[in-house]
Amino acid sequence: MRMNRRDTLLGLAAVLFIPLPARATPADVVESIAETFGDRPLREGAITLEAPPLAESGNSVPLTVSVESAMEGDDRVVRLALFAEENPRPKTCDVVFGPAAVEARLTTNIRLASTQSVICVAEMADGSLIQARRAIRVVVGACTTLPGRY
Amino acid sequence: MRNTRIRVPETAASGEIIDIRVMVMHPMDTGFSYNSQGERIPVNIITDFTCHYLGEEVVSITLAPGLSANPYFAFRLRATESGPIDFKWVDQNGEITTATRDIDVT
Repeated sequence: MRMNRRDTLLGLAAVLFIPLPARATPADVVESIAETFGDRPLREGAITLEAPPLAESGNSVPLTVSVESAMEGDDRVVRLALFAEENPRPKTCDVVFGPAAVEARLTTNIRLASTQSVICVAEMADGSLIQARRAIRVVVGACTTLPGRY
Repeated sequence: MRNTRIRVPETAASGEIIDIRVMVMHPMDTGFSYNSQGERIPVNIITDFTCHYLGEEVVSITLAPGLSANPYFAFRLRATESGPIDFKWVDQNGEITTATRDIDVT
């Protein structure tokens, strides 16, 4: 096949205009939190987010969240959700702790589109909400890497 | 049924807090990536995961595309009696994957 200048330019233009997923803004995250937990006041609380300060690939970032709680009576975490501020879809997971849970603690691997903060919101048995955030630097974001690579 | 990898201690002392680690093999396509032909890969995710110990719920998780491929979870529970620990995953098409591990509490 002979390549002429027109085909080359059209091909190049097509490559340059591959649509990239839109990013969420902090306002979207506030909205997403309100959608999940209802419009209730949030205060900073004793939540620990453990993650590497620098993640090489955004496709799988190990993250451990633990909420300081006795898991009894009013001091019980009933629900917990994780939000990544700049992911196209900020909410990454929503965890409900059942009666057999002894610790409000979960480890999982999340995807991060770029360097950003991860927010954890926890709902206590009395209905109050607490939150904590942690910044994670990402070298290669999850949305820019090729499929089939984890 | 999808392949799963589950780590639960075989035996535990009564009242001991044990670590449970589970993973299920699933691509968790976000809907934002393209294949080598340039076609968009549609969203394909697992939406729900639950764990029950002796019939009581430990955790129930709603998953989103923001979790990595082969979603992994680690959590803890208190071993009180010998019995089954049941795991269940449901994907967006309703495909169910279940697994059970028995724990011996002494």
